[in-house]
Amino acid sequence: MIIILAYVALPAQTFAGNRVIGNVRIIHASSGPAYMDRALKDLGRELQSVFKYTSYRLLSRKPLNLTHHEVGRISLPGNRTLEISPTGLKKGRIKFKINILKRNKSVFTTEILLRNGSSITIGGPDYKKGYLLFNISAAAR
Amino acid sequence: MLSQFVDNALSPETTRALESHLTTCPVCQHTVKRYQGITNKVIHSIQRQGSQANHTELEHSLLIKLRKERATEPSYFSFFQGMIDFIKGKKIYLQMASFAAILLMSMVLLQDQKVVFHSPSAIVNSIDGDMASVMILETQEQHHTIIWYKES
Repeated sequence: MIIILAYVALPAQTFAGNRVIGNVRIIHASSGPAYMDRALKDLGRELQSVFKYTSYRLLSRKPLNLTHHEVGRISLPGNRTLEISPTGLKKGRIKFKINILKRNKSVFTTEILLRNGSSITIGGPDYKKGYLLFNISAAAR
Repeated sequence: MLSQFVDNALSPETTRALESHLTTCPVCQHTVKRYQGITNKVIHSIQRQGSQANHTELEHSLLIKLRKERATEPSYFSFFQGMIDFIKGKKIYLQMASFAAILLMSMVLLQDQKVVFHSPSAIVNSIDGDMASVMILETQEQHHTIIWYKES
């Protein structure tokens, strides 16, 4: 019984320290031949439920390992940069400040509260007859 | 000698000699009849007691004897034997197997179970920048938050 309870309780992790660990998946979505990258197995259905694109390819995956207020910089295709910084914790969510730059000029800025252990997808920039999507997942440790 | 004759314990020659004597001696005849009566009574009594014997009690007394004998064996052996007897006696191995099966099934089910949340994966507090348009979407199944923007 104890083992079962421990097993059930495992996903309900609480914030232990002030480090945020995760990753950013850079995805290319297009209307090309139908394709779903195996590495997007968890996200594919969600994306297909809202977009009409037929091809989803993972271009790269970048790890995140940040302390609070530390800014992580990730190079994106098309002279773009993603700046991400965890700024706090609120009601089981991680507060993030996200900035996307193009040729060192800020284009998109947002402040979000991400559910611990969950992810958000930001997309829209044009790239090679398709669009770029950035799936950011993170968990507080 | 007459009692041995009744019990068929004499040699064939002696038996034959005694038989010829019995045809002419009424006293010996009477004694033999008395002995045969006693023997028959004893045989009947033994047979009756054998059929009415309490087997459960007999088994119980035998088990007590066996346990006493085992108690004299080395302690580590009697400990394990005792454990086995306990498990066998209480049939807890069946309960243990059932518990293990339930535990395994629960773990397999929980492993495949998707955690479904009812709130969006991310709450968007603010959006700013040099964009042509912006949309915030939420998927139906997993409530995954998507921000879609168009560069100007």
